[in-house]
Amino acid sequence: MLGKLALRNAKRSLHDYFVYLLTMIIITTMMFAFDSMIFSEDIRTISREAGMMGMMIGLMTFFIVLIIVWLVHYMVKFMAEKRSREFATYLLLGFRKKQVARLFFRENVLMGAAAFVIGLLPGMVLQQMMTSAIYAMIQSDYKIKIDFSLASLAMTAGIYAGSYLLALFRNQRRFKKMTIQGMMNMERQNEEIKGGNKSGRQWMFWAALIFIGVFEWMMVTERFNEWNVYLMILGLVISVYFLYMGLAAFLVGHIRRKGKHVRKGGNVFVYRQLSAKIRTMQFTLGTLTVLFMVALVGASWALMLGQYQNTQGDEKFPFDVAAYRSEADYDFRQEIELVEKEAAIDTEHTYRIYQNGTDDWNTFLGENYAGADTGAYFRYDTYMKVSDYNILRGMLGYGPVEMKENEYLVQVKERLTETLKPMTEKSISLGGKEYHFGGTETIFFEQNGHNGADYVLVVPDEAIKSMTPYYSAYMAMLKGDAPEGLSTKILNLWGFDSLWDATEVMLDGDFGYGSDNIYSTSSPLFVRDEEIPEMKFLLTALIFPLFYIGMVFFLVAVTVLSVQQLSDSSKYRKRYHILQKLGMKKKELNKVILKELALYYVFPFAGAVLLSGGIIGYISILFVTYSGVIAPAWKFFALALALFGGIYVIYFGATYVGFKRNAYEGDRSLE
Amino acid sequence: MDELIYAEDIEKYYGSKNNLTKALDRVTFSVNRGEFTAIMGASGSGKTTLLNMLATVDTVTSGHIFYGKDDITGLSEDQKSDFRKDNLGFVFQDFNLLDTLTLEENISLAMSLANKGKKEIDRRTKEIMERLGIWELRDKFPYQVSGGQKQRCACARALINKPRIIFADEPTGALDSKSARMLLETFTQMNVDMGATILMVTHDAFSASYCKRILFLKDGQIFHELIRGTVDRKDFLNEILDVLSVTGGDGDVR
Repeated sequence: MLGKLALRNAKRSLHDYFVYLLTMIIITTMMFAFDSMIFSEDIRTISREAGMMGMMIGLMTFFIVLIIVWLVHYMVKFMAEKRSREFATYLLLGFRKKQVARLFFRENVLMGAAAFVIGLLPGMVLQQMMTSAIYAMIQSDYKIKIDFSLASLAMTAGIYAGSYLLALFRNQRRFKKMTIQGMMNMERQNEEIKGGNKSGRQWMFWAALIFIGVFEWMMVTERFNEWNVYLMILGLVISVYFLYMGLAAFLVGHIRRKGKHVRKGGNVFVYRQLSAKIRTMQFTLGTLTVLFMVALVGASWALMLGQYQNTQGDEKFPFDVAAYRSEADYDFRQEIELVEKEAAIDTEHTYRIYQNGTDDWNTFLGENYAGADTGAYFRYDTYMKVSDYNILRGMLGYGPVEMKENEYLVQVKERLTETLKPMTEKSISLGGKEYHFGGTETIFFEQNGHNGADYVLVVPDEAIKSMTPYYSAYMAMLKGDAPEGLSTKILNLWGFDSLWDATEVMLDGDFGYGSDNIYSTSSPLFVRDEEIPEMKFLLTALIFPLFYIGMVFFLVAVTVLSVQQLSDSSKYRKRYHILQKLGMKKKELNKVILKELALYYVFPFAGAVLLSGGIIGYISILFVTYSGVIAPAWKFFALALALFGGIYVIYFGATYVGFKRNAYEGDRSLE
Repeated sequence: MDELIYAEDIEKYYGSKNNLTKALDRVTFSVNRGEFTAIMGASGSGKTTLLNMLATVDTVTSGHIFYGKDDITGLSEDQKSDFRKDNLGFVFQDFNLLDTLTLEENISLAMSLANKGKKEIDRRTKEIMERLGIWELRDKFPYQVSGGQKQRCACARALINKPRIIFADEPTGALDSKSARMLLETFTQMNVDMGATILMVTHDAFSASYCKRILFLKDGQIFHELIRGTVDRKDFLNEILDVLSVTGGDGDVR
């Protein structure tokens, strides 16, 4: 009998809390898909960096567990409160408290298990979709197949069950303390409006606003450092909670002052409902805002990296093959033979980079460019013959540059042109002769250690005569794709097994890898067709988990909001009937409901948009400055907003329809 | 007569030190087996508090409640659960039926909790439902039947374990007069035909007139008692109204 009761109750809850169920299904789907990525053979074989993906997903999983525990705990508590009378009835019938608690526990486990099982199949599909998306991104073929690993099932089930049980056990403790009378009265207590007329906490509202203002100001004026940033973020989160605590008081104050709009239409009803609601839900609303913030920041960040991923391949790896040797007279004969044997060479060039015993440019960049660290530059400034430069330009499809006898050019990464300006105002002296600045070139030129680090000074061939050869470089463009394993063959030629070993040994002395920030490469050898997939995979390992966490946080927040509203709509049905009896037409009542609902939905989301907008704006300005991606800073935020805003509107619409249905239930004339 | 409940000097205080409310003030009375008793009084007179104490839902501040020789004021939580299961039945204003169970299941649940055999449960459930005229509705869910039928289901549930006493808290409070009359007739039937002892809390004189005995409560004290004896219901109703008019009670006549 108890089993049957639990099953029936679970079925009813599935119906009542469909949104919750749906969210748990989607979370299971995503969790299973991402956990499968950790164990997937296809992913493991794809890249040297496959472990990175696993690590990121693992890290995200930690936060996701926290949020699932919160959601389940919130929902369980919520359902227990809604059903308090029912539980009291069980107790009156002679159930022991333990039995009631066990019954409720069983119901929830049934519900959770249902969501889990339903979520698995789409999870498998999603995992295949993600895998094939990754393969497509790195230009490999992938055949969709059924990939089901027990390990990932065990991991997902473990995490899911773990967080579920944790949340449920916390609730069991609450059960113990309850009395029949308390349960009978709980429904009424929920609507009790404690201090409903207090407006004294308004200072909290202003304090929070001021803190947020300070936060944004510090951000824009770049006053954050590693010491104060965590403290300030903590402060920001606290002030979000303060904002809602103060907001209720502020609204009450507004109503009591009979401020603007209060006496218009059903507004006084809407305001009173709202301030009562904000007061009882201030913690939840604060949490929702923080969740939305995390979701928006995560997704915008993912989009930024996505943009980076799409554009950076050409900048970082313009040549099909790029090799570096620290020996100043290396002739690359063996390498050329090897490449010729393995692939069809279109154009190629072997040349030297020179130095003059000076380090003015390196020092200047090290001091003036915030993104650069100590290993970014060579010991000496790097120079290149204009004849070599023009050949290399030709290989990339650019026309040659013209320069006068007493001029030099700077070939530099575009994001650094502004920083370098003061240096270009001076002339340089080579072999006793003065050379004047003749212009800046910013073509994509592989300047992470091969053609200089970040920049190379292009000088007339004559000027080179007085200088010392620094190191040797070889660039080649191939007809068609590079054959698989080309880099390994070249490395073997050099006496190394892997790129890691080669990098460690060959770049151990004087080497500069430039100041790239998000994805920095430091290697004696680049084979474009191997490097780009590698980079894309690594970025994907960041992008996917960021979307993952953003999506989960967003869904959890929007679910809590929806469930809350839907259950209120049936709880406060009477209020709408009273309004109708007071002479409100159905159209007007709909308007009141829409207004009420819109306000509840706007507050946490708008707060999050404002706060995360500032943060994202700041991050994306930095991002554009340091990464060299050319895109307006607001673009990523706008895209994330569009994505989540769309889902938000769908949830809002569904809630509005459900709300009206609940509120008018039992009143045929209104339907 | 056979004494079922004896309440001795019970007091109940609510609130904190600075704001103490006395809900019951040294109340002493007894209920006999087979009685149909009403507790009447205005809102806030303490009648529901009294019922809750008798039903082990709430605890006394001082005093004792005896069921036969057993004092229930000292029972533990689990002992109270078992006591309720074995001895008490409840009928509420809004019936409190479980909406996920059919009428039959709602009724038999209380019995299966008491670990009775399946055959006995089935037999007893059928018997009770037939007597209350809801056997045909056994497979319906609460939302599929009328308010009156729900009530009879709640009554059947209260009766199923052959409780020593049935408590009813404002059972007619949410009913129209026709349904109220039907419920009270069912109560009378339960009392007369099945020998059930019923204790009902109400502020409605019409409902109270169906009882055999009425205790009037005011400010936490019993201040009057009426016994119907052999007078018919109409006359008894007038007696009740007389008492109420003297005390300025808020009893209403349907």
